[in-house]
Amino acid sequence: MTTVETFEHIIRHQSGRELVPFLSTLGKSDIVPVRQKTKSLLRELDRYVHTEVKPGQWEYRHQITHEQQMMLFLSGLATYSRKEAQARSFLLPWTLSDRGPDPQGHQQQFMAVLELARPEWLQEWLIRLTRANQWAVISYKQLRELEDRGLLAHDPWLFTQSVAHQLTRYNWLRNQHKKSDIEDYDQQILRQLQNDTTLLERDLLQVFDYDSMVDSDSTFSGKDRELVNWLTLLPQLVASGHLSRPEVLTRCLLALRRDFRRPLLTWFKNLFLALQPTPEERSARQTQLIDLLAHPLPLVINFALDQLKELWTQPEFDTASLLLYADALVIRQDLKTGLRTLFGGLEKLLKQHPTLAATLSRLSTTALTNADASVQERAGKLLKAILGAKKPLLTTEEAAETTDTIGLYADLLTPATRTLLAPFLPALPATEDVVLQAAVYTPTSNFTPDISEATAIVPVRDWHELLFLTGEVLQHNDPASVERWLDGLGHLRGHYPTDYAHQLRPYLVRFSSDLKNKTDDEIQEYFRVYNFNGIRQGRRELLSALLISWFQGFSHNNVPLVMLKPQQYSAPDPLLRVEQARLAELERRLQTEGPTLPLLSTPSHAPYWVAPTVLVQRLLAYQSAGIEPATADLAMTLARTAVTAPDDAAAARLLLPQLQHPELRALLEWYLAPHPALSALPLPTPPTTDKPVAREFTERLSKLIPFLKRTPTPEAPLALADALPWLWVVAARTRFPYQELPELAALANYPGVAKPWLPEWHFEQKTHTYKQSWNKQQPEITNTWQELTVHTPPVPRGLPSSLLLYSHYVQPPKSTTDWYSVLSLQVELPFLLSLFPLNPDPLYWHLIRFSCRTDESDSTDREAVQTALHSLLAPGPVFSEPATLLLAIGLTHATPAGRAIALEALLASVDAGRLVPEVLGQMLGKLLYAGFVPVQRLSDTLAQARAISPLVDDAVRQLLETLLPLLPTAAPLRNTRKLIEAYADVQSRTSQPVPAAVAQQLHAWSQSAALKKAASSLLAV
Amino acid sequence: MSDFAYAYARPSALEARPEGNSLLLSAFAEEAVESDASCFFWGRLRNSWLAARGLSTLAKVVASRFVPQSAALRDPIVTAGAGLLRFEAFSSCNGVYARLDLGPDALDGEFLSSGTTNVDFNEPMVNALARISRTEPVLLSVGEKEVVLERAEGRVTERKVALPERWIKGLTAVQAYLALMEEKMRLTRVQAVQLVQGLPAGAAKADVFLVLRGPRPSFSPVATAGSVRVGGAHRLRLLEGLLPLCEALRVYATPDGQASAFVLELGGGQQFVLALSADVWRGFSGEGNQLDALMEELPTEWIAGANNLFRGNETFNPTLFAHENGLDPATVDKLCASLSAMGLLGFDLVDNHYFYRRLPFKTQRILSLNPRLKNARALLAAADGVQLVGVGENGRTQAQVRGSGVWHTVLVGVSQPPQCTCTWFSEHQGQRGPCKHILAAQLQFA
Repeated sequence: MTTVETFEHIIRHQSGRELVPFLSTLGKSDIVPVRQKTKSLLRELDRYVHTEVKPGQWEYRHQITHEQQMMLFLSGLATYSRKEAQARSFLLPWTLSDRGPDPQGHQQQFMAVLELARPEWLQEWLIRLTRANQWAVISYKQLRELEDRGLLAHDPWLFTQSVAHQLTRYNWLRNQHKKSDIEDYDQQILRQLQNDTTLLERDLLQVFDYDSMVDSDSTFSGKDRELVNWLTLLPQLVASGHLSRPEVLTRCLLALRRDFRRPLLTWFKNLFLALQPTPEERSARQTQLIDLLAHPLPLVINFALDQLKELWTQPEFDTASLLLYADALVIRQDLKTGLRTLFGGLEKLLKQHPTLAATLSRLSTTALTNADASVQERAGKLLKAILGAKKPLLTTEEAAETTDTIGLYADLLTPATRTLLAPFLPALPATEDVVLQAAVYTPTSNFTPDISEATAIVPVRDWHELLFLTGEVLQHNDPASVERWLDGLGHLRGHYPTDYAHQLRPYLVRFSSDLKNKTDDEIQEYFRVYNFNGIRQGRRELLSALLISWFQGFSHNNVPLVMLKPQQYSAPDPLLRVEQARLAELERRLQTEGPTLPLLSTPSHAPYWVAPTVLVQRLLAYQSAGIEPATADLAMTLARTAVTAPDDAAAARLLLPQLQHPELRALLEWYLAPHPALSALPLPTPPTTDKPVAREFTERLSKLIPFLKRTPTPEAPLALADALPWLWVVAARTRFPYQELPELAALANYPGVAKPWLPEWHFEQKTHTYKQSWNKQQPEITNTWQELTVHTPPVPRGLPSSLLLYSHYVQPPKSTTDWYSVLSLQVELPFLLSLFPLNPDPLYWHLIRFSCRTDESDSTDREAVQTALHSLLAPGPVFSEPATLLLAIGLTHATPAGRAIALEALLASVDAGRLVPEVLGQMLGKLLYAGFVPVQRLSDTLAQARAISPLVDDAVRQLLETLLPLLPTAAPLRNTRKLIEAYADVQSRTSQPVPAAVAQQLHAWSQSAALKKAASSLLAV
Repeated sequence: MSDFAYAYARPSALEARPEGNSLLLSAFAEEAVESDASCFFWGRLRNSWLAARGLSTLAKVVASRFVPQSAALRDPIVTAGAGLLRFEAFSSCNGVYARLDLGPDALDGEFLSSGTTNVDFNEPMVNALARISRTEPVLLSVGEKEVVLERAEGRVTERKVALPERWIKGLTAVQAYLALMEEKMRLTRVQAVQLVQGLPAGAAKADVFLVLRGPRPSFSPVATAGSVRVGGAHRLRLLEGLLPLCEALRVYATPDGQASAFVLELGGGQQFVLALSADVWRGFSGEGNQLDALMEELPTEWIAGANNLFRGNETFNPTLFAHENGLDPATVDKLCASLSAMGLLGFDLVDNHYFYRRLPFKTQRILSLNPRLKNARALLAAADGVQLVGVGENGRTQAQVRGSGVWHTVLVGVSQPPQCTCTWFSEHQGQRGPCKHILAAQLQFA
């Protein structure tokens, strides 16, 4: 046998015991052939093969055995050049790094092969492995052995990584013991460390120089599993004199200067603190501590200032250095705790060294630009002490400069600092000027949609615009673009180019990459059997179905095939079924060649209005073409019609006599009237809702026999004559959302028909207790929170008609599909909001019920709330109860982004006169009183609305005047002071008297120590 | 991805010398300095404390990253010339560009040579900047005037860093954006401080719009007339330390809102520019805003000629340059785009002119740093990669361009922006530069 054949034989049939002597006999000329064979065997063996393990049972099996893997690694170690050793796949097997029992003796074989081959790339290779994965570092014991045998030189970084990983290795070694919970394991480890001089004198101290895992390395000791880590061991090594205390203290501070990871810096800080340095030791290291003030992280600066604060008053303290760094510290906005500590120290310094007043005043004025109220207050106190000193501490010029700077920053001051520095601030404008600027906010009663040329929506111009709009619609699903696209599909029918299906192919391959490089016939076949019942179903899927129909030349009705019934992991929004019916109607109409009449509900004016004249003109066009309007489309149209646009409605009424359908004409005459009379409502009778016998039978049978379930055949759309009673309800509820309409009582006893849907809301305190027996100190934890509950009285199951757009959300979805309902709501919300430009209240209630239940919501809920808050920005009628509640929740929302949008909605609603401040004040009062949200959030948000305009000031004043008396009196909420200060601020600018209810509340609060100052000063005005 | 080794003769340091502190910035230029001197500037900083704050902020930008990725610290580049020192740097994610300009009023010294170089920004030197006091005279040296001991001993501070080309790509995109920007707001120092105080807490996930409400600047989640779109506004916190020191702050933005810039007038001839990409996840290096201008391949001798000319001028206004030399402004734009694609040009917002960076003149970078352009040329090189379908109204050309397993319809022409059916175009609607299909069609038919 040749050498290579022998090698192959060993690998295939023998073990490492035979391989090591074989490798030791290799001559120089054998190295390359064995190396090549090693690589070829690896290629052959190290793979998974589909194998029949039992008759009929197939599995992917790894071809290589553990022993073969080890042997091929050792062969590589002995024969590889530097280039091959750098390959990513050449890794140190896990078991070779001193991790526990080694019955096969692989570790010995590893060292033996290294000894005989002595690869020159060993150190470089080990460093590369460790850099790629810190957990792959070779053990410290092995490293030292390699160093002792002269196989590698001492590399500080590599040795540090290994030392810092030693406790984890001790943790693995616990597996060698019969009982893994070893008594006094920490002491055993400590003794081993104490006995290793090289470790103590050379390698252990290097953990202060390099980024390593020293902060997370640990094991356990005893049956109580007490944590053993370097933070517990190093102080013991210092205490026993094995490590020098001064050196460790100094090295901690030097390490803190480095740009290490935050957890590692925290670890060095904790180690320094664990050693409990004396004031003398800290004083001896004041230079190093002061140098830490240049660090970019507040964590380090806060630590340094904390250590220095006791030294400031000592004579040997280097004040000049501190002030040098302080110059750069006071402009940092990320420092809060540190700056408070600093100013505490500067106050002491002023007393000791009054000559520093000029420097300290400059530092303090700069700190007035800090956003943190307590930092400003500290700086203000120091300035007051300097400027108000009986014996002047500053020259006249210095004092004037300081006062000028304070005046410059007056707008940045918080109320507390402003009060402190009031004597040094420029005089306020005269009261008469303030009164002149003040304004009184009152909500407007009428809302007129903008139906003009400026808001008119331009239809899709030509084929190319339609083609590229398709891509935009598929990618972004923006409701306005989708409506234009749907309209374009219709009016350009007949103008598509002959190869239009070919041009649509880039959009179709987005459904599946399998469609790439396929012929037209193959794609047609793919979609012929396409399953429209995916796990996620929504409007995007409806549009995709329509796109596929388009590609197929509208020869198939795909839209009705999209499954929109709740399933195990999906609960599509109920209104999507109305949209499905609308799109199905469009799909059906597009089957005829030539331009198609537009859907009635296609918005004619931005954002989603259908102008009354456009509606009537479209109906007349349908009449001329002999087409009956689709009922789902007509219901949506009624909800979108700008009936409160008086001029356009009047023009539409003039066209109405041309409409030949008497019932529809009557409906529109009533609907488009300037002031429709309730008495003029007809007394419609409910249409017959009997399902065809065959359908009823199939549905019942499928409930009994689950495997008979299949995609339901689409429900036939209701004829216009049958749908008219429901359309009357939609029209009536659009114009009169909250009126009792007894005329409609005969239709159905369902909320949103004769009686409005008026949910109630309140807060419920919920608790949850869980036990944690492992935690002796806290064996039981009880969490308490407030839940907002939207209550609807029980309603009969089953919506009388899917056309009742305002009643879809009355019945809450099953609790099992709650989350999926919220998910669907969040995804579809932009579209759903586009359906109700006049009366989105049911949608808001639905959203509040699910997404605002608790203050701590998930990202799906948060995004849904933010989308809904965006809708409050658009012009519209005066905020209703749910809209105001949504705004109140937004103003106190857990996320800054949510609060920012709510603030915009507040400002926009004041400009448009939509806000009713008293109602908002009441709702905020309820939220705060129940402890649903903290006061701080509201005060922060209102602070941003400060002094924007006289109208906003007055609206905020009205809001606060309603809110303040609703807050708890006996035990005021935390940060109530900030609301009082905010009220004092707007009250001073609006120059309105304090109402009796507010004064009474302030009187009561003036008994509280925390509120006394703020409440009394306001009462004194 | 390629590695690039900086070989510094010694680390940068703030050294205490008998004549005062000296800030010695070690330099390493990719292009060898033409003159014998290895020092670009030697002299005093007139307001050393303020300059130190600017350099610290620059170091903060370099150390920052706003997307989850490993930190890739880079050394800033310095361009010395026309009486100015310009320190430029990017954040690790390449979405923030920062530049500190030290003008003639800020410097009291000698420009020994014009050029562009990397300077070593090591941790001890950056930390030492905090020690510079308000009244302390500090000597600044960019590069070395004298041979220092360490160098005599042959010690070299060498560090391997990856992807320096990203910076060149970033510099290309930034200057193109800056050249398009218009001034939108001018804020006083107090307003500037209020700017960051009004930032929503945490990382801004959505766009915000800077707007003046009364006298106060605010960030609104809603666009209004006159507002400035600021993507990833929390990145502005990098300026926190400088805002209380500025005399005024100018806010600039491109007309399409794809980038914004904040220029802090620090006084004493110092100015700090911070430019932000449209979104946190968008690095300047990935923008394709120069592709239109680069599409037409200009003769190499033209580019080389322009390079020599601008190299001498150091700063120039493209419109005035075209007017003075009787050139078509579009040609000058293309020349500028070609030069900036090699990282050779930067743009000064306040003075509205380009400045020249002395970097290697490597025309192959135009293609290698613009993969979309390279892929478009590959489509053209293929036998039937781009096919004409027809020419419509106003010269609108419809073409079929080969995509991945599918043919895309592309429409190009002069009167309207080009369009394509690929996913890239559907997603970005042309806001991040044209896709390779549009570029190929334009190269073929426009």
